Amino acid sequence: MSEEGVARFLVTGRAQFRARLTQIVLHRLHLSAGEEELSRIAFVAVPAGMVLILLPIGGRPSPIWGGIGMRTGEIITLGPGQRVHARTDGPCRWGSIRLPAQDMARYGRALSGAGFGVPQFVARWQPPLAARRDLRQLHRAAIRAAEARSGTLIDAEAVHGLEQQLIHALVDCLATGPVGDDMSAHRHPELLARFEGLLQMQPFLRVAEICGALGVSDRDLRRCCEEQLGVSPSKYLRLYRVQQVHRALRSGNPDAASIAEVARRYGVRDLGRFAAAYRARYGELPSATLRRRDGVAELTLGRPRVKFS
Amino acid sequence: MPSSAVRTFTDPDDYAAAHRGAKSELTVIGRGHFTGKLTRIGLHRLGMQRSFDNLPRTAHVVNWNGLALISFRTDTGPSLLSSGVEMQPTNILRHGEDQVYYQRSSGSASFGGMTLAVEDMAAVGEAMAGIDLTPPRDTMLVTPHPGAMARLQRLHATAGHLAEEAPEIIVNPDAARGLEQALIEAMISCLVDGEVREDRVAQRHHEIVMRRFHRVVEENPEQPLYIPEICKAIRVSSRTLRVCCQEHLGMGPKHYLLRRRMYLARRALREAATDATSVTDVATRYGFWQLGRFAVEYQSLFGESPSATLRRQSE
Repeated sequence: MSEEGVARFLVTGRAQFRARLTQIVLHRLHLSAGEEELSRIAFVAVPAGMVLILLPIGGRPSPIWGGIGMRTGEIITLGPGQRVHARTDGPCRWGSIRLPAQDMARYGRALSGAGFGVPQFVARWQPPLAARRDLRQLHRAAIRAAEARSGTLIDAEAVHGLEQQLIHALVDCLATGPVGDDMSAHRHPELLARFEGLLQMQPFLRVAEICGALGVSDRDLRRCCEEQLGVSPSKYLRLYRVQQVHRALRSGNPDAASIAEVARRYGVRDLGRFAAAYRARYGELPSATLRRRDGVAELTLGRPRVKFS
Repeated sequence: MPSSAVRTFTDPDDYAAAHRGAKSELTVIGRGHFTGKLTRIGLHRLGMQRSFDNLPRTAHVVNWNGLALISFRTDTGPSLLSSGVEMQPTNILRHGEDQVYYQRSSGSASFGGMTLAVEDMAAVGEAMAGIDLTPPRDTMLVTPHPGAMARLQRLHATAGHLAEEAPEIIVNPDAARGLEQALIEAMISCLVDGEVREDRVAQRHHEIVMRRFHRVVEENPEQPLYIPEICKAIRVSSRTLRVCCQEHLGMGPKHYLLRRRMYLARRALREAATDATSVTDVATRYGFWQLGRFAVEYQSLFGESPSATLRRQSE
């Protein structure tokens, strides 16, 4: 899901991971739809110059974006360069549309006048019913077409028509302005993005050390994590370490790396507890992963990505 | 040499093409079988015509013959709008120069027109009533004295009747001259002291918008079109475009373009090679990604399923 800007994906639920992901690359727009079974936390970084629109597609709950739940009839937008966590508390479904901010600005101004602005930050919207219905139906129709005719090259004119209709519905959806300013992300802008950056560089740090490095109190970090990630910082660290060690073992050379050494590199202190958590997540002990090495696909994709002309 | 012709039509395109002196494009909106009837009479200098069509439709008209034209409704019925102005049997449109406009009906429509060369129109106006009847810059709506209007309606109807029942009378030069004289007098007395409704500025702006809208449509005859690209091309917001289309076409631009895409898809299905084309290909090509809905709307509009159209053409 790097197409959607997903930089990290940690599964928090306990069972065999299963997900179905459909992606459509159009001329300007990228459409995706996901259906997942397990709760998880994803860290999403919207590329610079892009806008990401998230819509509920029904049947199952939507992810919680930056601590903001999507209510019925709402959509969420992430502005260019935004970095937020999206968590789920169980099975979920989501749909997304990604497009260049420039295109959105151009068409937004053409359709609704010079006052149109590209959404920034993380914003929640309650679009007019008709616009929301159009957006959802078009998105669904496109995803269905992609699933039914996976891999087919679609006529350029058809792509153009789909994009035009989606852009129209999208601009209409954003005509009324966002609702509510309840973004917890605003209280600590970028705190969790910096937290992620730190994990990447120094995965062995303890929570207290992380707080020190980020310059926040233990309480603030905890509150932020609980709001946006749904777990405490220490729980998140544990999940992160299990995943990193798993990756390292899968790709590592078994002669060079002992499990204890790899685990220590990621700051694991209690190997016994770690092995149990590892097994709960991957269904096998770290030693088994190391022996297998060739590994299995981490994501079971329902369909291959569909590329349109 | 005076002449007359009465024709009936079942094909809207033939009917539109038969309106001489104007290039008009008819888009039928309503369902059902089309019936059109056109009576044309050419007297010495005066031309007149009476038209009837039965289904809701829009007509985009470009007058290019350089004649001075007046038109009016010849019978009451569902609303009939020209350039967004409601036509009544009690008023007259004095068409402006360089006329490009939409006329739309929401049911059966009967209307008529009269034409004279621009200099003849100016001359009779000057000679008979001392008024300037050269075509105005923008179309004017005139509400004549009821008595004068009734007389014009009666004469116009009589001429139509003659064309149908006794065309030999019209070909007779003397009879034609008498009829022509009476019609011109009736027309002048309608225009001489009729009340003129001022053309509002907004109306004029809307006409400009519609002209640009139609130009985009005309320049892309084969192509499905969508609101965002049109708004971008003609620099009009979707809200303004909606108001203008509602006024001139009787429906929003979305509906109009959707209907247009339907007709384009139908044409593509008819012309497609059955074995190499699927309904899905054609539907998505014209922007119909919700295939189930496309099939339902297609069926209700054309009375057959898209796959039936595709199959039929190969037989």
